[in-house]
Amino acid sequence: MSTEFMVEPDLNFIKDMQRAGGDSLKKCFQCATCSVVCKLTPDDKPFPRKEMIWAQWGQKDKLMSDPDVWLCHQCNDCTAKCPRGAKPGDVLAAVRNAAFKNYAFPSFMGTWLSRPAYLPLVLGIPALILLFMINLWPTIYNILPKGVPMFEEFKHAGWGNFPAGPIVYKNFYPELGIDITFMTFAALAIISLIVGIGRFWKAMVANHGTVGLMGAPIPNLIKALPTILKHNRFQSCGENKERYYGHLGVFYGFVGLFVTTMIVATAYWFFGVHTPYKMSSPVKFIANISAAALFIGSIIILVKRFTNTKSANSYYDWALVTLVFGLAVTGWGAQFARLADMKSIAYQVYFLHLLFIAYLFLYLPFSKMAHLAYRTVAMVFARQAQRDLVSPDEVLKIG
Amino acid sequence: MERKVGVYICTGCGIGEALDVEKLSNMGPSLGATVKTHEFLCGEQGLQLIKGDIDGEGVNTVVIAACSPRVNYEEFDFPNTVVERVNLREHVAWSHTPNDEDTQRIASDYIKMGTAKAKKIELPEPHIEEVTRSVLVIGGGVSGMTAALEVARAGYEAVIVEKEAQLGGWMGKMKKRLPTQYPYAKLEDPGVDAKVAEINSNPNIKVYTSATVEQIAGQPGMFDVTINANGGTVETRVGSVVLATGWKPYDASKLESYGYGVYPNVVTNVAMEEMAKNGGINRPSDGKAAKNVVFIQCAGQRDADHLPYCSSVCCATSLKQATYVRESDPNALVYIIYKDMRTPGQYELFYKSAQDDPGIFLTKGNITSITEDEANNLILEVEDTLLGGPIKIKADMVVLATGMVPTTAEEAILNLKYRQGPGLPDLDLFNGFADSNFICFPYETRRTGIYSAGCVKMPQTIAESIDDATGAALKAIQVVEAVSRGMAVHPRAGDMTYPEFFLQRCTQCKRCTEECPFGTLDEDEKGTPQPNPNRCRRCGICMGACPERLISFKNYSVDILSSAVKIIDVPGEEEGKPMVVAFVCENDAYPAFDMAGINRIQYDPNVRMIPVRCLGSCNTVWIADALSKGVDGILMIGCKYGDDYQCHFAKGSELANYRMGKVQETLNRLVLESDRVQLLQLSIDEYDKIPSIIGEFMEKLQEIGPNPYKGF
Repeated sequence: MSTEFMVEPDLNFIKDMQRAGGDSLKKCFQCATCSVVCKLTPDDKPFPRKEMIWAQWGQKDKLMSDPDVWLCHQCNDCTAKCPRGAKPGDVLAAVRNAAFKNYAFPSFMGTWLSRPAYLPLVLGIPALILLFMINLWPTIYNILPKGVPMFEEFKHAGWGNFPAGPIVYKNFYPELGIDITFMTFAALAIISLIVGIGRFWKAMVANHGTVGLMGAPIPNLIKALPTILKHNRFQSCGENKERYYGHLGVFYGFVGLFVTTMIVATAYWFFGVHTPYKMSSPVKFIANISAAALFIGSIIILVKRFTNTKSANSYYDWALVTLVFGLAVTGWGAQFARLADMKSIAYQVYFLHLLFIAYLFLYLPFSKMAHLAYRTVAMVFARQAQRDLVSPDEVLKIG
Repeated sequence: MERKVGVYICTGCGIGEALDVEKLSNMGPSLGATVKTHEFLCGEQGLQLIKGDIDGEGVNTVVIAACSPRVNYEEFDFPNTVVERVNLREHVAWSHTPNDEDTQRIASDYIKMGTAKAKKIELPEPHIEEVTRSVLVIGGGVSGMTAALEVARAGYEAVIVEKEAQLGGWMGKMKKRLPTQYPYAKLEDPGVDAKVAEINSNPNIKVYTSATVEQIAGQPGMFDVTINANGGTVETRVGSVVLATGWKPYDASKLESYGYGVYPNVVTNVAMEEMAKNGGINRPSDGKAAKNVVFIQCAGQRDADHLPYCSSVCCATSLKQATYVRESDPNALVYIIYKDMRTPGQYELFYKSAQDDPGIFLTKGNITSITEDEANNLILEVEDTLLGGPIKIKADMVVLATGMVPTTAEEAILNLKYRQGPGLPDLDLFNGFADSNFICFPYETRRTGIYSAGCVKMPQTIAESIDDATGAALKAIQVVEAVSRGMAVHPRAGDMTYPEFFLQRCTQCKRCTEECPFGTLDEDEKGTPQPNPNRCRRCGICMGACPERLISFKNYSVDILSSAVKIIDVPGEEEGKPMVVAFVCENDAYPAFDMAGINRIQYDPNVRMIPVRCLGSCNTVWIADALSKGVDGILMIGCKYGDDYQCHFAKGSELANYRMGKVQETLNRLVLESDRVQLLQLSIDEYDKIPSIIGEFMEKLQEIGPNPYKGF
């Protein structure tokens, strides 16, 4: 970082960051109050001061390869104390948003997810895919060999063609169809994410300076995991204490839902167990508890976002909070409608729920949701580069 | 005049409780005066008591023994009556142990001293001559034009002398000026045409262009000015002068280290403004539009090898010019490399708004090298930046933010026909700017009736120059009105006395003509002083200088103060306590003692204070008088001197210090310890130090032992 370099400010990148929640970034006058109040920054070359001037000067390469941007958990203590209204917390969030766009693979997806103008397209594509598939299942049924129980669900799939009896969503969208559709979405997302994260890692390695890297990524990830799982970074926050509970709820809500999804899929594929599960089933219990965590967590975050006037809320933020809230509400709504036998709305709510999940899967690498990967990777790298999450005795060991 | 002296002692404000007033009242016969007391002398009844004696008893000399002369001066003003104030309140009752023998002695000494002075004080007879009330304004830039317009609007005549062929100065050479209105984000039209038109249509303003001032002779109210206009000369008489000749850009040819004169695309901020005004911001090398522009702040400023000072406007100017570049092309990139961003006052808001532009990049930094590539692009290396290390910038053009050099740094401009020279003295203290350290009075110069405004005084923006010129115009009007009434201007505004010279005894030693800080005195061929009373500030520095003691004011003279010194009751050696006489400057030190009293701070009672107009007015004979009287020590307490002088007459305390050096040599010769005389610098806010500085002096005197002349 101390070697001389040619500054070639990227004006468009500055404007990108300003649009992505960092409109105040030019206001900084480098007093470093932010770095002084920050409880998370390392002592050496602390953030967010240096990131602020890089942002002002459009130093895209430096910001895109900077793990510190991700060490920030946006508690906004810095924003509250900033004498110039430069909102360093928001600026770092904008830099992170810019990173989603920058590392997006394919890159047009980054652009689509960066602006509300693309929202109709972004929602329209999974909606059309789902609608198309719903209509496709009966057609596929006709060409498939008959008598295989797994395929029988295809017969009545779609709108208004349901057999008599209680509401069963697999009659609308077959279990196998769900797996085919969403595993494809997940596979695409995982490929994109691997490519993006790979680029990010390479950039960090290339620009991290002269300090030696300590060990390999996986052991470092294992060492970093307790910090992530315990959420202690959120706890050192002064300005926005409630967000600890919000993020914790959402995080473990997703963990719980991931676990239940895995159980249901395993049961289906290996033991032939079909949905719907009884309400008394422990799987159902975990799923509902997780949905509650998701719901409460997203409410806390929503309330904070609506009431906090000190920091900005970017499109990325609203998209994510709405998604989480929507997932919880439509998930519960679909379950309630099914149990209450509200045939007139149940399938519509369920469709919406599927749409939210499709959004979550398809756009995970390009939306703010991707922070789960980028932040984790950056934290692992920071540990590997002996910058953060590393105890003093470990540093001594590699000398 | 037959003296009938009335001494009036007020017993209010704690004086009556601290002193045995009856004992003081019995001093009448020894004072040769009637003594009366009143519990509320400044009240209606108290004043009536005095007025009754003036009208009914023929009292013509009044000694008010009450509060400080710095208060109630309007109440204790009686027409055609000599009034002397004795400060029993702040300097006695409030600052010494009540009902103590020593405190009582101070009071009786002060009443005796005041009465002795009053008996010798005469009523002032103002010096009045026929005056001209018009104002000469030198310089036709924004400051000069504003001053002339303000003078004219107030109903006085103004004469502008402008060196160039047209009015406008730098204001006329600007594309835009800095914002003057909230939110201070939008650049404004300089508005020079409107101003020039207003001047041309004002019948009270006479304009000489392509003109210079060849000579100014005379004094306020009667300055005879020779103007050199278009080859010929014009003579005119004016009452006062506003000096508004502004600035010149620093000679950039000395800035080769920044590539000026070496690379074609390194230009100054003056050239940049000219480019922006006349067409476009194009590179000198090939005429292509400059899209990557670096501004280097403090180029040849705040630099011991060039201008040591900050020109104050360059930061805001570079921000202004940066917005020119940005407005010319939305993709243009502008860099500003500064030492510190200095945008005083509301310009901070302009700084903020310019900083908010995504295409303006600011960092502190030092330029370590500037080189050029084959396409005449400039490569700058900058270290000590905010970006965490040295950086390189490639630019189409580099703009050097060079500073302002006052026109008075190189030329006298005023061309005064004064014995002390054609220009304003000692401007090297202010790097050549026509500034002064006059407390609270920024327009003053050390030539009475001549006021400076705008960038010739200190670097400033158009808006600041307009304010400054307005103030200077008011001062220029004030001085002609004051001299028309025979009154002094700042700092003894309204004083109607003036120095009178008993020239029959003059030895032509020239000390008065040399030492007057205001160049009041001219000389004839023999060296005899030629007074110009309208130039005089009434400080009495000439009176302090004169070895023949032939200079005096009606109410302030060597003799008047000598009589006060001589009447002090100096106790004999057996008392064991040293006695000190303190000559105290009325401008800062005397108020400091008042402040000590107001804060009930006590100090040694064996000090007798004698207020003086300025330490510079202290004649060394007073020291001889005091020492021969048996006084053990002498303090001279006045304003700070030196480069950052706080002396209200610029040179008074410095001259007093110089003279005291001479006195001390004499004392040593007479085997009288020179430490008995000490000069102290005290400002009004240092009143809390009074007990310790007096205490230390007293201790020193105890060590030295009593004055051997005691009792003679």
